[in-house]
Amino acid sequence: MERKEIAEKTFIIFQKVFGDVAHLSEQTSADDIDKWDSLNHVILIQELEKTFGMKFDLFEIIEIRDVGGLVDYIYSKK
Amino acid sequence: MNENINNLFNFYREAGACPSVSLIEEVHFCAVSGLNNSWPQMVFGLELSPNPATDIGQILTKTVSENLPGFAVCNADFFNMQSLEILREKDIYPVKIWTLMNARSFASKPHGQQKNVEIRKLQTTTELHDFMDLINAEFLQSAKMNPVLAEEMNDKDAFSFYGLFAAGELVSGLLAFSDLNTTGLYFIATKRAFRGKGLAAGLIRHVTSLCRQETNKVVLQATQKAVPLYTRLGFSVCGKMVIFWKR
Repeated sequence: MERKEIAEKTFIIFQKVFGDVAHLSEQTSADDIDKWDSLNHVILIQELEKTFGMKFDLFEIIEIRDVGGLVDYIYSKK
Repeated sequence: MNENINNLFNFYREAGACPSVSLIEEVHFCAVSGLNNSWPQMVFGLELSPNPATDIGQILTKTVSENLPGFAVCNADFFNMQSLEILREKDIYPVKIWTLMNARSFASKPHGQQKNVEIRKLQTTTELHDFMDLINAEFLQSAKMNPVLAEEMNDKDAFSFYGLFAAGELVSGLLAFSDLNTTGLYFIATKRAFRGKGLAAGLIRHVTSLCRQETNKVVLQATQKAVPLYTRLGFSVCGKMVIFWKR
């Protein structure tokens, strides 16, 4: 899967989990999204795993708190 | 148990002794629950068996069924990939890693304050409420702290609220908690517009030096992002702790 496609699917999941996020971009981080708390982080990871059909290394992904970082991570595992 | 984790657990126990907080003590864990889902919402002090994943799973399942706080902190050394998989099957995920840090060097006297700022212990109700507004906006996420709890904590000798004021405005603050021989620094927060100016660093240096005069050790738990800052301030890494959350 191309990185661009991963990014597009990731954006859709972000909108699904967090609602309409203003100015969503790869630079958007947890600091920009009030709803990106611990519970929603769990939901986000589960949705990403389901969408991309993969299981993340939870300790590797735990510190990634921006959209671009998640896209990079998924791209590196595909 | 190392003094850093011990201080954290005692911090929650002592907060749990405040009138507006419920504290439940079980054999393998404790849970604190603030009123109306306010801070603290925490399961902690897990003296786990050789099978920590099973224990944590049972604990978090119980906490949800009994409407207790739904997440837990635990020493990262307990966990391997297999135990994480067991937890994942129960919808329990690690969501944060805290780096445990202890101060390794100190100035003998409180560090000189920066120009045009004042650092002092908070005393008045207004100051405590300003502190609550600060940490609720800049530090806490889901569970916010009730201002009444801040007043209750401030009545206890173990807790000390400190603030850094610029032109009379509280712009940075922290809460120090002292148990027998250790002081832990909690809720270190700075207003967004005042970040990057070294204000929190000045506050931490000042309070660390003050606390060092009263207890042997000063400790804190840092996010990965903040580790370089605390390292520059004289803290060193002594372990890791994982925060779990059940969906």
